[in-house]
Amino acid sequence: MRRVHAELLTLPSWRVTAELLKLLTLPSLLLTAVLTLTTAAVVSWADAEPVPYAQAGFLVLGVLAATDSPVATLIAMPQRLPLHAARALTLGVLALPLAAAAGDALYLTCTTLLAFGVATLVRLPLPSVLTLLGSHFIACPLLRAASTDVAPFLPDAAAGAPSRGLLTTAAWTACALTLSAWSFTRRDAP
Amino acid sequence: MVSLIRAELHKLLGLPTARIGLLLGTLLSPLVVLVNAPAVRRAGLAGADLGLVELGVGLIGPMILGVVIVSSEFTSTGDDAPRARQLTATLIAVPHRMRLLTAKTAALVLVVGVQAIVAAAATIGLTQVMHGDRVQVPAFGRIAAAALYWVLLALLAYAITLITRNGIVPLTLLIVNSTVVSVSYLLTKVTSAAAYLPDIVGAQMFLQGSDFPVRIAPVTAGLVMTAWIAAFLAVGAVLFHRRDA
Repeated sequence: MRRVHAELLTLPSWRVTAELLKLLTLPSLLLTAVLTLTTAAVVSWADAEPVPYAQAGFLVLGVLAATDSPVATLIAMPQRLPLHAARALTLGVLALPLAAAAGDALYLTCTTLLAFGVATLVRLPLPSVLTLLGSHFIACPLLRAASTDVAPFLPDAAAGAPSRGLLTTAAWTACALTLSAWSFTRRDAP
Repeated sequence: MVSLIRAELHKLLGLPTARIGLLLGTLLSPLVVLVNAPAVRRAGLAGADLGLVELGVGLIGPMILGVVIVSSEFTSTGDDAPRARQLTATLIAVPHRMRLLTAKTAALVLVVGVQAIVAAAATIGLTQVMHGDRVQVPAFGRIAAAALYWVLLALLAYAITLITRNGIVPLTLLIVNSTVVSVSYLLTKVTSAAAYLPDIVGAQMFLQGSDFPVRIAPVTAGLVMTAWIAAFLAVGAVLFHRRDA
């Protein structure tokens, strides 16, 4: 535990800057951000709530940030825990203004980080996207329709009720990030 | 040509993601019928579309298959050789790109066609078992149209992936659009012209009860959707033929 603590303390700003530079120069990330905001604008124009639509873009954002080749990065920064923390932190900072523009700053940022955690565990982009879209767009609506009792415990709880659901969504995100940090420090490089 | 199709079938069915697509597409709709049965019975719903609507959940299967049959060719094979893609090897084996594309299309149509028939039979059959006499078996023509819709949607996913050369964009677009938060469906609330978007118009081939802004005859609907898919496929084929691998 003390070692984990010490590693996290060695999280200098240049690590975050390097990750920020990498994320900002990824064309796929930029494209996703533009597509997501366009969709959110179209949906609002059509008089509907943009968040349930826009969350797809944020899920993809998290997956793309997580599955972008970390091998070269690991050579430059062999300490994995600070690296993982820096990547998550950078992604969160980047996602926050986008999430605010799309309609729900906190829920959508949490969703991006949840996707980042899951994609770090799954590692492959397409299966990660499939898992996340399957959960947020197919499994959750089906479960909610089948029983109202489970609704407050689903990862997208905050998409419907921001005040009550945010705790649930944040808990799922925290779980995904913790699990992914554990697996990222333990597993062989992808 | 037969050996080419056999090779493409072999490649497709060997992909783990494609196997997930096969499994989800075939099992999801019957599962939804099973899970939803008590709620449907309680609500006393026995519409003409019961069974065919549930079939829509399984569409994720054909979408995955349509995407991965192309995207697997363009995925980097690993960090040891970052620029290497399976497509390079495929094109060395089959340099004639249109022949390759024809074989790929045939393999996809074959797999999704069989999957659609199995899923439709299971879903409709299970609906009969769960609800008995209260629902009629849909006419054979409507079940066939639903299977055609599956194949056409797989081809749409396939064509878009040929254009984008990346699986994430079409997969996200199509999955989101097939759920309750469909952008196409939302647009039909704004303009009735959106009733002619491929996924919306195609559903009119076999659904009767849903609230479509414009009623289109099933055959016309099928022709409009086929025209859309043909246009997308033409663009995808030209790009695949012309672009550098």
